[in-house]
Amino acid sequence: MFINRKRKEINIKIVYYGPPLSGKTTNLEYIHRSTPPSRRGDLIALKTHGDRTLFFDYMQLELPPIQGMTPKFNIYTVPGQVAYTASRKLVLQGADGVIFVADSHPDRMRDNLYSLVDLYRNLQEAGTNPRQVSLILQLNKRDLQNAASVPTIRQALRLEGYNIPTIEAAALRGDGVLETLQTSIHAVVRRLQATDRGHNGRTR
Amino acid sequence: MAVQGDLSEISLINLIQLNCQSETTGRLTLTDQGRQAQVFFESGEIVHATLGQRSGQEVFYEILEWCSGEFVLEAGIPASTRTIHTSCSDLLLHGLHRLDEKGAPQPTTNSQQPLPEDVGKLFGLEKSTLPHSGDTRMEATMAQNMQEILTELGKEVAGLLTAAVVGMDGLPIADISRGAVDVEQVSAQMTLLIKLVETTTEKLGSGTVQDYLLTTDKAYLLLRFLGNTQYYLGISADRSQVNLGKIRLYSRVYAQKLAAAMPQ
Repeated sequence: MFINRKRKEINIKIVYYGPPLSGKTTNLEYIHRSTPPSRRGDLIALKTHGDRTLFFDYMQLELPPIQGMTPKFNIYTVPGQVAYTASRKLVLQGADGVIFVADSHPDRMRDNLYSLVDLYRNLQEAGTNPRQVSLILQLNKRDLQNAASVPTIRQALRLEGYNIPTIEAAALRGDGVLETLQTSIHAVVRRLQATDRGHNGRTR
Repeated sequence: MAVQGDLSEISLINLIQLNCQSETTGRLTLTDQGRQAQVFFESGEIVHATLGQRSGQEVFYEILEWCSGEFVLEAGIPASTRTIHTSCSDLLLHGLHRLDEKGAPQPTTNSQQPLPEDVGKLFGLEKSTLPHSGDTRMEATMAQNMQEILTELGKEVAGLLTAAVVGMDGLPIADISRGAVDVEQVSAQMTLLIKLVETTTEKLGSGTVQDYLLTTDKAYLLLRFLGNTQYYLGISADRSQVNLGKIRLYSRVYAQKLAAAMPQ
């Protein structure tokens, strides 16, 4: 999060994380395509081997202001490959919300788990407390015929028995993509407003 | 006014990001082992970078590799010329990306460290309180319950046009409507209205608002909080089909039902 007092904007960072080729890029491209240009910035893409890193700004004009400031979202994907340490750190630094995009293909359960544990370690390395980040789980590629069941994936991710907002998606078709982003924005804004009220002592 | 320091205390990346985000205009001078580099900012954009006699974007990427040295940041000093035309976030992402690609391939940390047994705990997630701990999509379940209650309300009130449960962040959790209504937009606008009215009632010292009634020539619009003041139920109904007393009664009864369905 970064507060720009001059512009009365609060910059909120949402990062898509997950194993390579789980559909992070597809999510971002879809969101970018379906948002009118007046409400978003250019899509910046960086080529990496086998995956791409994407970035753009996103405005949700209808959201009420937080502390009198307009929320502005910076949306990123992270290169999944291990070698991109510095880039990953830059992207994860100060993240407010992370959307973990898991691959529903049964062969990729281990990749999913490794990536989620990696997320934890990388957040710590970037100086961001993993407990302060709103984490959302997107189960992508639900349109696969042999997609693993929801409980199976949660179990594979070792998240059994925990509350974590979970959205099923088929990002290529756009199913669940905007819902995932909305859920993340919702969670982040709610957390910021809770802190906001805490500071004002305005509880009723 | 100048800010000085050592790159061992604040990383160059962070320093640059700070200048970009706070929309600085000024000159950042770096000195390390006899070499000197300068980066110029204009309203938060990086417009010029020099290293010795050379300048431009490539030079900026080279400077990004600096890990040690001293820096001086002088605000208000503009660049004499512009050699860089790329946005700050783009430059940083590209720069670090190149740095990563130049670096020797690193061994995967994945296979070397043991995997934690309980990942939910790492992220400080809450334990599910639902009886079926296998499927803990609490928010989804909650929204589904709300949706069912609203559907029931829709069946009971003849002239009902739209009903929605909305959080004070302006986002609807569940809604039903007859006809094409942009519930998301209306919810956000109504939430703004509530916030405005709240400031007024606070100033007047007139206590806590219980409901809001809006009367137009065609419809009634009624908003009522669900127990606490984090969510409200909004109903709009056709005036020719339903009277005000009835709609008030329904809103009270259903607000209670909805509040009960919401885990506190």
